[in-house]
Formats: sequence, C-alpha cells, structure tokens
Amino acid sequence: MKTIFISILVLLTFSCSKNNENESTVVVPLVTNATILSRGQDCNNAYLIKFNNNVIGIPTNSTNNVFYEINLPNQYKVDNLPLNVTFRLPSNSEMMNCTTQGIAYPQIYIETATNQ
Amino acid sequence: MKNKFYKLLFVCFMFSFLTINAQTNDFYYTSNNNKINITKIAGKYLAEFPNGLGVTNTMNPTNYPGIKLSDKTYLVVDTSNLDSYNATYFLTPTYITAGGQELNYTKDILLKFKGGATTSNKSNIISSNNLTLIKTTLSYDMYRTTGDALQVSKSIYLSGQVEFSTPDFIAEVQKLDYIPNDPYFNQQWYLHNTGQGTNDGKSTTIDADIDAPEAWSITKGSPNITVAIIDEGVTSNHPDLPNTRQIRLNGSNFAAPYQGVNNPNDPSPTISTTAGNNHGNACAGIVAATQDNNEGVTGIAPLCKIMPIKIPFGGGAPSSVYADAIDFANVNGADIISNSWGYGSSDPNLIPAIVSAINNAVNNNKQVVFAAGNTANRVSGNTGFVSFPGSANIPNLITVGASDRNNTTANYSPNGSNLEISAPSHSGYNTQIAGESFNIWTIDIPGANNGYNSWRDNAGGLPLIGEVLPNNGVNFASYTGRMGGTSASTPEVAGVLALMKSVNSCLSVTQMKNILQSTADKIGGFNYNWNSLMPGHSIQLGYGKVNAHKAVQMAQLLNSTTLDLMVKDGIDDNGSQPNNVTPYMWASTDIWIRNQADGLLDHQNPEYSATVPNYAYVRITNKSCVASTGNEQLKFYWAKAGTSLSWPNTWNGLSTFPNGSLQGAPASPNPSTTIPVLQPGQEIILQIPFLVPNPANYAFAGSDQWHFCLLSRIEAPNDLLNETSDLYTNVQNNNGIAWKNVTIVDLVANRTSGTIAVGNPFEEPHNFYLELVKEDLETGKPIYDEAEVTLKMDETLFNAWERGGKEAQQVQATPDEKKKIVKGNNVIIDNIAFNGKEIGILNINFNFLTQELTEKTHFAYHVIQKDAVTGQIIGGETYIIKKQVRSPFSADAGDDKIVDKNQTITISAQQINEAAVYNWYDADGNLVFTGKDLTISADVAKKYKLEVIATIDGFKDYAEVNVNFKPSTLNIIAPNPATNNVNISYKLNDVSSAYLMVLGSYGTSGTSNNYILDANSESTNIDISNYQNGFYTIALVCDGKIIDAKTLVKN
Repeated sequence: MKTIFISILVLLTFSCSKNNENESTVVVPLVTNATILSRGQDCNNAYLIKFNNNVIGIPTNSTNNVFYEINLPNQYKVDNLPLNVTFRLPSNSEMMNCTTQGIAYPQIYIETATNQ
Repeated sequence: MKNKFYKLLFVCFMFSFLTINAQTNDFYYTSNNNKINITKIAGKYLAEFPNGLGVTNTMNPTNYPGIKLSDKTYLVVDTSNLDSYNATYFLTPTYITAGGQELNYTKDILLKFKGGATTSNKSNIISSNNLTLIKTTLSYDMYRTTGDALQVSKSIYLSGQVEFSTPDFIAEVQKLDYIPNDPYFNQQWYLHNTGQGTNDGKSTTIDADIDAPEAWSITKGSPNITVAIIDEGVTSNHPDLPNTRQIRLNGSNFAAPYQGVNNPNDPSPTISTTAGNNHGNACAGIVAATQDNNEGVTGIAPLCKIMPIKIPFGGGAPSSVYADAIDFANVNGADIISNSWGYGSSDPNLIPAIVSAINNAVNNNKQVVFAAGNTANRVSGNTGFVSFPGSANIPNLITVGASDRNNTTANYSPNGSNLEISAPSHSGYNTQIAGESFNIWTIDIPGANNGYNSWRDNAGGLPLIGEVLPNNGVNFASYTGRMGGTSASTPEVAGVLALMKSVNSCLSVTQMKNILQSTADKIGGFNYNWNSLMPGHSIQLGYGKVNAHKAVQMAQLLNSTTLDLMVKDGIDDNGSQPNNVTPYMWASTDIWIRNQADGLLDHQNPEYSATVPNYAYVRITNKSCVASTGNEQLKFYWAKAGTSLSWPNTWNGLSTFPNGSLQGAPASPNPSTTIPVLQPGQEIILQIPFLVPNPANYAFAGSDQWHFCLLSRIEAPNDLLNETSDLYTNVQNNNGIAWKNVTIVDLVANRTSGTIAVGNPFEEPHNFYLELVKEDLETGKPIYDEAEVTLKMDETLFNAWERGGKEAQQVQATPDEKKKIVKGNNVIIDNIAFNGKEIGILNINFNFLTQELTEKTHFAYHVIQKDAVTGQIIGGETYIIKKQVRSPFSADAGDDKIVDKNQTITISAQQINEAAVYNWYDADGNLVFTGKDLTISADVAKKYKLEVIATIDGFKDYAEVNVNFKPSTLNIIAPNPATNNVNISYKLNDVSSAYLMVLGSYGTSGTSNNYILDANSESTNIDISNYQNGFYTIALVCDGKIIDAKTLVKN
C-alpha cells in the first residue's frame, strides 16, 4: 500500500513539475524495486544496491544494474535487504571519491527508502 | 676436494649428455662469412602450430604439448601426441651452440640483400627458394619458407647476394635479471612473468610483466627517493615495510576529522573485519615492500621510501581535503605522488581545487600518478571513461590503465586519449567475466581476520572457487593475493618512476613522462598511430605497457653532467648519440609549422604569403643535469621537400635548381634564435617566424603540392655538433640536430598529392633506389589498400630509372610509363642511375576508393631513398594522409550494351550527388574521354572503365561496362518455297569471314554448296534452279562456326 502511495506521489510530482515549471532540467526522484547487496570494495565500503527492474534515467555503464549508494539510511544497510527506493543522480559535490580496486559501479543518490 | 669431485662429475655428465644427445652438427652464416657451428639436440623440438592449437580449453596448461613460447610455438620433447591436437604443426630440431646457447627456429628467415643485388637477382632468390615476404624493416627482410629455414638460409647466403641470411632464431635472451628470495615472488607475475600462472589457476603469458628483475640489475631504488601513497593509510611497521622506509609525518591523516576516531598524526589504516581500510597497504607494498628478507613479496622500488597520506573515502568530506593531501605530499618532499582513486565522472575539471593542487605539484617537479578507474566492461562493449582526476587536462599528469596477464587490455580498463600508460593487473571481475578474479599479490593488513583476504563480497567481485591466498610462510596473514584493478597498475608505475628517479635525480616530470612513453611496450596489437599529435599512443593502453628495465636504462642514460640540449628525432628518441632507435630520422616530433601563431601542436604544410609569415615551432629539452647559459642559438632552415638533401649545401642558400630558384636557405626573417636559460630537465618551445618561399618559383615541378623540409640545429659553445656532408648521419649522430620532412595530404582541403625531389647529392654519377613503406605502428587497412596510391615521375627521374633498367616491385604499370600504381607494401623503384647532382621530381597522389573505406582517418606512408651500392639511407619523406569519414558513392556505368557493328551509341555514367569528374578508359587503360556521357562508334567489342572522382576530396570509384555486338543472323529467305532464285538477307557483326552453307536434306541428294558473303552487304541471291526439289538447310557460318540456320523449300 505504501509503495503504491509513493508511486502515485512521484507521478503527481512529475506531472506538476512538467506542467507548472516547464523545465526539462527538474530532477525528479524515481521509485524502484531494489535489493541491498553488501558492502562494496571501494568508496569506503559504501553499500551496493541492485535495481531489480529496468529504470530509465540511470547510468548505462552499470554492471548488472548495481550501483554504489549515497545517502542510504543506516537502518537499511543490511545485506540482501529488499527495498523500494527513490533516487536521483548525484550532483558533483555529492559524488564520492573511491579507490579503484573493484568495479567502478556508478553512484546513485538515494532520496527515500522503504522496506518492501 | 668435494668441489673438485662435483666439477669432475659435472664434466662427465656434460660429456655424456652431449655424446648421447648431440647427434648431428650443422652451421649457419652471419655476415662476412662468419660461420657458426651448431649441434642438433636429440629429442628436443620446436613445434609450431601456424593456426594455433586445436584444443578447446587453451587456458588449461595441461593441454599444452610442451613449454609454451607463444600461442603458436612450443618446445616439446615428446612428439607422440602432437597429432591429438587436431591442428597443423611443423617440427624443427633444437640446436645448441658451442657456447651452450640453445636455438630454435620456425619457418621464418631474416636476410639483408647486398646493396648491389639487382632486382632480378633478388627475384630469382625469392622464387627459387619459394619465399614469401613477411615484412621489411630497416635492418632486415623477413621471409617465410616452405622448407627447412636453416638449410634454405644457408643456400641463400651462398648465393653471394646477401649480407646475412639466418633463420629467425628463437633463443632465450640472457638478461641480467635479479631474482629476489621473497617466497611469494613467484606469485608476482606482474613483475616477472615466466608463464607460471596465477593463484586462481589462470595461465599467464611469458613476459606479460614490467621487467622488474631486469631493472633491479641496475637499481633497487634510492632511500633519497620518496613515493607518497595518498590512500587509506599504511600499517605502521608492517613486517614487509618497516617504518625505517616510511616517512610518517604529523598531519598526514586527512581522514581523521571525517572517518573513525583516527589520530590526525597517524596515517595507519582503520582496522575492521567488515569494512577495513585495506587499500593503502596493498598499494604501498607494490611500490616498496622489502626485498630479499625471505618473507612475503617484493616491491618494485624496495630501497625507496613511502610517505603514507591517509584521506577519507566515500563522500562526506569537503573536496578541499583532497587538494590539501596532494599539497601535503608536494611540500613535504615526496618525489612521486601515487593515487589509486578517483571519482565516477570524466569531467576534467570536476573539482578545480584538486586540479590546482596537481598542477602545483607537477610544476614543483613532483610526478603525480592517478588511476584511470575501472569503468569499462569490454566484453559488454562498454569501453568506459577515464575518471577524474585522471581525466584532468594537465600536462605531465600520468594516468594509468591496466593491461593483463596476457599482454592485452584488462576488461575493466577504460579507453581514453588522456590515458598515459598501462601496467599489468588482474584481467577481469567475476561478475563481468565468469571465473576471473583478483590475482595481484602484495602486502595486506596483518591479521588472519583483517585485510583483503578475509573479505567477503556478495556482489560477486570475488571468485567462487579456485583461489589460492597466502596460507603459509612467515607472517602469511600480512599478505594478500586479492589486489587488482587500475589501483594495482598505478603504484606499479609509481614504483618504476621511483627507480628512474633513483638513477637520475635531476629528471624533470616532463622527461620522466617522455621516458615512460618512449620505452613502453606496444602490446595488444592496438593502433599506436591513431593521432598525429600523439605518435605511439593507443586509446586502449596509452603509450603501452610500462617497461621498468628500459625506463631505468634510459633514465640512467640521460644522467649527463655536461650541457646537452636536444630536439627529438621521433617519439622514441631518448637523446642518445647516435640515435639508433628512431626508424625515420626525418620525422621529428619536436618541429612543426603553424600557418598562424596559434601555438597549436598539429603540423601544417607551410602556406605562402608575400607578407605574412608562418610560424615554426621547435621544442628544445635540456636533457642534462646542468643549466644552459642563455648563449645557445637555434638555427632554423628550409629546403624544398626531397629525399636526397645534404649538408650544408642544400640549406645554406647557395644551391639552386636549374631555373635558378633556391633549393633551400636559412629561414627568413630570423635564421637564428637565442635559447633562454634552461634548467636541468626543462623544455621550451620556441616560436620562429618563417616567410615561406613563393611556390611560383617552383612551377617547373607542376601544379601539385610541393612542400618543405625543415632543419633545426642547436649551436652551443658547451655542446658542439659533429657534422659531415651526410645529413642523415648528422641527424643521427647529433641530438641537437633535428629534421622534419613531412608532407600533409589533407583531403578535406582538396589536397590529394605531394611532390618531392629525388636526386643525387654527389658530384659523380650514382645509383639509388626508393622504398615506399607503410607505417608499422598503424593497424587497419594500409593506405594502398584503402586508396589508390599513384607514383608519377618527371622526365629526369624517369630517365634515370630507365638508365638503371626500369626495375620495380609492388607496382602496377599504366599506359603512361612514368606513372605507376602501388599494389602492396615495400614498393621498390630500383636502380635509379642519376648523373652527378641530378634531381628529379616524384609526385605521389592518394585517391581513396569508396568501396574500400574504413573508419580509419589517419595514415602514414614513408618514402626512403637509399644508396643502391651500400644500402645506406640517404634521406626520406613521410606523408601524413588525413581522411574524414564521409558518405560513399558508387560509380555506375549502366548495363552492358549490345549493338550492331559501327553503330553509334552513348554510354552514360549515372550522375552522383556531388561535383565529380567522370573519366572513361578503354581496356588498355587509355583515357578515351572525360565527361559523363561517352559517345562511341562501335567498330569492335570493348570493355570501358568508368572512373568517378569526387571534386572535393579526390575520393573515387570505378565501374565497368561491356559493349558487345549483336550476334550475326540470318534474317529472311524469300521466296520460300522457291523455284529458281532466292534472296537471303543477313546481318554480319564483327566477323572476318562468312558464308552460307546450303545443305540438302529431306528429298534431296544431300548436296552441299557454300556461298561467300560480302561483309559490307546485308543480302545475297542464290540461284537454286538446278537444285532437286526438297528441303534444304541454309546455315550462316561466321569465322568457321555455324551461327544461325533456316530451312528452304525447293519446288
């Protein structure tokens, strides 16, 4: 029920943004079904999150739809945890610096997270 | 006594070994009748599989038939199972020299023809020995034989036509390697790859490494050289990296305020079993782990020091922290600053403060090294991007990619024009290539439950099975086999830089970068010539894989205590005198022309203006350890482009062409420019105004583009030149002299050709030959396959060639005997017999063929003039052909035509959608008409060739059309039936003789009569009044063949 509510909210937000501001640059959170995988090897061992369905607007150079999370609340940093999240691309100032040992998964800024 | 006993035993053993195993003696020749005796070793062979092994799993060493030398060659002692590989193979015996050097060979032969060998002699040798040319280099020609290469090469040598002829021996090159006693050294395949395989069971390719042991034979580093490791921190007093070789400074922990409860003065890693700072140790160990301590691994520069600087990762810290960390390394004496980290963005100016900090460090002569990042996934077609700060546009910043255990690009290593160099790391991640995993061994956070070895990764980056990690030996839990990515490649390059700096502390960052570029191994078969501004660079691996041995050697070579100013002859020129490495001495990368004073780096053809100068740019480097005085002068000269320039006459304004125009002169208005004081290692680019000579003075060479050769000479009281009249040798012997004979063929500007002078620099008659070769560094189609390359000689050059016998190779004749079309590599225009000081003109034209186009946009083609007697290079010219990708077009001459003899017809070319020239040629290649519509009167059947040349860039295509005659026919027999006379009409086309044959058939007596036909008539009358009644066949016979037939009834 909560998922449906968030989805409707996002859709409404998206529609309002388009109609009222007519700006193509408005950053709109997207909601998707995801799974927290585990800590990654780089980026101070930030968690890896996998999007379980195809989502438009995410970096295409990801391997297996896996991303480094930015701003995931601590309570959700649990291996193999299924979540619904809204997210956006990080700004330059939000982007993490990372060691270059593992795969350079793209980074995703988590706006909201809820348990499935 | 014991030693003597063992020596005796050894001698006995060797005697018996040679007696038992050495079966037959043989020999080969080198130059000057030098005969080398060799002995065949029984039971030892080289097996060559020309098409590779026929097994499916070539990764499994157990499938190999013997010791793998390459993908196609193996040393074998057991030949019984070779057939089981289901692959063609050749066996050749292994030989041994008197000195104990084992030699193997395949089907390839290296030889060098004597200068006096004629083309026919060469052809005879090639054909009689069934040789196929593989390649021609400056030093040798390589041929493949179908016979035994040893025997064939001897036969060739005995012909007397070659300086040397030997098999292309495969022998172990004895290197002065230093092999340390560290027990895990054998796992460090990235330092010394002997084909030992990896800890996770993957085979490795011999020499897919950085040649560290060879470098250690020169230096293991100096304690005066420090490498800063800006990372997650380094363990204090690590068992393999004691604090005596760490410079641990107060304030070096920049992570302290942001992550954990760290001490700002302690750059140690945070220890955790789940999220530890494992990365800093791993990088530091690759640079400087202790060598020869009977423990763990070895670093690349084991006597240098590291300066750990800890920074936060994963966001949350302001960007100023990272700039501060780089500044900290800069001001605290680090010589090299190694950074195995970056951001998920390719923006070259993502964080300006970091760019500024790197610039400050580089300007302070600190070499900054950054990882390129692991953004690619090549197996999925994603070539990634170079990550910031590695993507920053900072001259002398070194950005490092990853090669792999088999000398190609690691799957994750990105493409990039700003990729500087690569170093070996693991091949791929398990989630991208199944079964791949980390396999770079280095130091780790001590403790069984700490560090990379204890790491568990649910995202699938680690192998599922098969991985062997350090599990025995002293302090084994302080080491890991799980390092990888461009993170591992970066400290490898930093370690090599530390070794270089150790043998030559006055190297500048520019020199160190140049050394890395020029000594890198060009692995992977990539195009290392894709950009004329970056010769030797590939977008996959930068300038190639770092070679520690070559880099240290060159660094040592440049350690001069007397002034030495140089201008490079080519990308590979290290300033050695003589320069024996640059293949084409006339293509200096440190001289270029710009039509305006814009300071850009791309060489342009000089353009004439009566009043406005062009600008020559010359880059000068002080390669010594002493400063210049400011009294040194750069002299700059021009000459009309040619392959036979000498010194000083061509350049001093005293030599003229027959029409009185200068062959060359000091540049006007500034023939001499003072070189400012240059500090050790410093370089400067001088800008010199250059008034270009009027091309109208050289109209005798035709209207084609005839550009210029350029020469720079540094005249310095403390760095004298050693010169003779032989310009090529002068350039080779003096690093202060550089030469630029490069013609730009810019198709976009409608320039499809370039003219050069070919002549005799001597007073007496002399014979020369021309070689035309493609650039070896290029991949893809060579220029002569993608374009029609046409050579056009002027009268003088043609006459000289004719006097020498008109011999040539790899060219196709045309109806114009002065014009030839290039048909392959290694064109030879042989035996050009010039009179004294005679000069001819050669024009080379490039028309790209629209049916052969590829994406390639840049081609280099070299013309080399050699002395026909000695084979010595006189000079040369390099053509740089620039092509833009454009829409192709097709020539269309329409369908074949069927016509009557002497019928007038028009053959029309289909018009293409751009301005073009339409040429029609007959079957002999003669131009018969220029225009879209060709009108002909068909007197004989012919094939016509249509050539369509785009006006804008000379691209062309061909089409053919056949004009054939209608067949000759019998048309009408009237009347039919007939009684007395019958009229037969016919049509004859393109026949030399014809007659009618009247054959009696049903109801007749079977008589046969022939009636000769007039080819100029179309009917004839036959009197048949004497024929019996019945049926007759009227056959038309043309040139002896029955062409048509009809039936006539007589009543």
